[in-house]
Amino acid sequence: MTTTRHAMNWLLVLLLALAVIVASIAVLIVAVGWFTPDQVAVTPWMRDQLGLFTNLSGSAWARTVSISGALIFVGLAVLVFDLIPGRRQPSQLIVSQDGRGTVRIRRDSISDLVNFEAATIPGIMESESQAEEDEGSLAIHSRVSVGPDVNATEIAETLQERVKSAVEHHIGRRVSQVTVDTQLAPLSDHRSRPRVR
Amino acid sequence: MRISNSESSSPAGSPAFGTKAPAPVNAVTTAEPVVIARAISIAAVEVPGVAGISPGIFGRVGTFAAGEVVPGIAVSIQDGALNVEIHVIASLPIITDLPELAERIRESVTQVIDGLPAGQIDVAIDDLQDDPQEEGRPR
Repeated sequence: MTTTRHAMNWLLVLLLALAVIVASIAVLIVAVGWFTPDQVAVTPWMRDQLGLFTNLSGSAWARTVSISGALIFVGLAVLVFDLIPGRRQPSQLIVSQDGRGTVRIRRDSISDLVNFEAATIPGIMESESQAEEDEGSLAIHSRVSVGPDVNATEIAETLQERVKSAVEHHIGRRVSQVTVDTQLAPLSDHRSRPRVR
Repeated sequence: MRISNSESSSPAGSPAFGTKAPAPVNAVTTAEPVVIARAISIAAVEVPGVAGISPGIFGRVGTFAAGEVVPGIAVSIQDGALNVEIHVIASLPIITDLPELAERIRESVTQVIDGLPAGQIDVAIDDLQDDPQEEGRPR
């Protein structure tokens, strides 16, 4: 489920970036006067909207051109960041590889395992985690929301031990680092995953 | 479930994987990749610790045939050997460490394709999922 959700988020961001780029280019070339709305628009509604950017003058023209240019730049930056390989960590880790084949695991699954371990510790309300490869071992970053009546330091240490033990035992990769951030407030990020059962 | 020594006819133009059967008159035992994939899929979900089969991101992993798809199992034939890529969802809590789980899945696949020249069997663990049936088991 996590995998699908992240993939859909990634696709949504790409589509939004493309839409922003296309719309901004259309506005820019109409505002500058290189093309008329009739030449650019594919629907009457779009022609009407682009018509708003014709015959601009003074500060309105400068503002439109600069905002369009900025949006194109931001959209391209998002595309490059999301699409160029190597800028992101590979989504899968190779657990073993030999003549019989390869065993791989998605990094998101490691996060699921960490969140599962976090849910077994009394006092942890929510958690979210990320795993990154670090020269053959794994570095895990975890954010947890804890109850007001618990010792956050103890909980963080317990979580560190359990996560290291669980990941090394179940996945067979050495864990070099487990970073735990604790907070009293609920994890507001939409990616947080309530695991209390 | 084993598919070796089971005979099935291959429709014209449809690639089938075959071996010379030891049987009488140079009979060729064939099995469509989609049939093999289906058998592997059934066997894999029976392995303890497997919660299900994952179709991969955007459902792009599978064995495809006319009117049928077996999601999560990619069967291909290369240099006369049968290569299998299988994507699974492991159950939480984890009852078997994941390399061991992958090994059991491989053994299960090997039993299914017993008799066919096996190539590489790749196992991908795409997700972990709470499995109510595993909740009560000791960890």
